[in-house]
Amino acid sequence: MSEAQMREILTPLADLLNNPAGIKEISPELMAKTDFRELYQSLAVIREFALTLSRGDLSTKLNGKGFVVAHLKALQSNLRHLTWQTKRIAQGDLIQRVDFMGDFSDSFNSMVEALAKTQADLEELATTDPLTKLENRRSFFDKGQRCIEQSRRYEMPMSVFVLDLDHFKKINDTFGHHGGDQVLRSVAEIFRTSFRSTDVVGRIGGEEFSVILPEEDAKRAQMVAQRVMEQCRSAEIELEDARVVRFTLSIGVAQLRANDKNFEQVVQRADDALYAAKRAGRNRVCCLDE
Amino acid sequence: MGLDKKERQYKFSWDLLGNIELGRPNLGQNTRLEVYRLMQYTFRDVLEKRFGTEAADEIFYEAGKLSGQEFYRNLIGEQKNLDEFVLCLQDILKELGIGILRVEEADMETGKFVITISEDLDCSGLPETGFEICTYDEGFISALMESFTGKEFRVKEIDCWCTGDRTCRFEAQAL
Ligand SMILES: [Zn+2]
Repeated sequence: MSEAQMREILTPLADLLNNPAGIKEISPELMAKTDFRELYQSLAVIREFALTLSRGDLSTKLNGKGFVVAHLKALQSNLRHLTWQTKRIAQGDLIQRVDFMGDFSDSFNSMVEALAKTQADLEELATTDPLTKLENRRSFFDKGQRCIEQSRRYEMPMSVFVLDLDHFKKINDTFGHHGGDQVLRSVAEIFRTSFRSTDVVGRIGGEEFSVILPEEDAKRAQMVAQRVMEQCRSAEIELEDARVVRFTLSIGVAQLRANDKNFEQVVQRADDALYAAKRAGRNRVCCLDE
Repeated sequence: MGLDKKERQYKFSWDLLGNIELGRPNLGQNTRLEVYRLMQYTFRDVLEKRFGTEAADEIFYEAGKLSGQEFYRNLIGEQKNLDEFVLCLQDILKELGIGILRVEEADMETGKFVITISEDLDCSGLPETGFEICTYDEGFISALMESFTGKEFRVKEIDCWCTGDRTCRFEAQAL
């Protein structure tokens, strides 16, 4: 083969790879040769695809075959999957992880994990009482409404307590606000161990707590209340300065009724019962139902 | 012509997979992938000779579908949403060595899904024949989609190892 012939074959192929302006005219005789045409077309597809990929276009369908094309398609496919994953993450699906993009995967996954952590922290902040780590008032009332829907769906009873520390003002006056806070934290600790994991415990006011007992009627709920009340009565809370605080609490109990319009109504009845318990001398359980 | 129920000898049930712990105390769950492929491609050969290419493909699609239904019922079960479904499926396909599943597109409203399976059990490493070969997988995926969405699906493989691609790509469309 002469040098000129060789150049005639190689120049258009080299242009496809290297020349931004593309290809000059190719002689029809050369294009008629199958081997040349196929190689030429493969390179043309790769050129086109490299261009679309570099522009960020992931939707162009690549029609060629062969080793390089197949791997470019695999890359396109990975990028499409990544796009889908990112969309899912944007919609709050934070379980997506990337496992096919080397260093990028690690960074991406750390980012998603950080997002998930932030979201969980925010969620905790929005639903938890910072002092006692119990449900805060808003979250407690949200859960209460959902519990009502559940017990109506499954035709199960449900009861609610409102609990209030007796003479809390006196505790605060004697031991200071810091001591008072310690007492509230210890009370929350007692609640955490004495209620079931399915019960919902919230701090709804200064020294006022409330508990939802799913699947319990007023009769059984009063027994639970009695037990918790006695637990608190016998508890000794040791403060940081080694002083010991003893306290009692009063509990109002109410059971969900068929005509209750919302959770607030049940809590209101439990609150009325609490008030009755206070009037009757505190340190007791009261229920106005039945 | 189908046999009526009384005459059926091979009606599929999950029990037919047997008690492997009991039956293979030494060899256990594993077998070489070649054995699976040997069975599949000899089956295919004979089915094609007897019934023609199209019918052989249809049989494979249908068998894949039956397999997908049973697979969903026995190994996947009720799923809360698309994310959980995909995640569960990815895990189980990987764990069983079926392939690495990825989603490129998932539109619950139009019912169009594009998924890829890399290192596919059926075709990865096969010679390039120029046509998509994962007919069984098509049926299998259609049954998974149907079981999850409750809608009927048609699945077509658009890229395959056998057409020169490195990953199999399937387009699923709700009917
Ligand atoms: Zn394939």
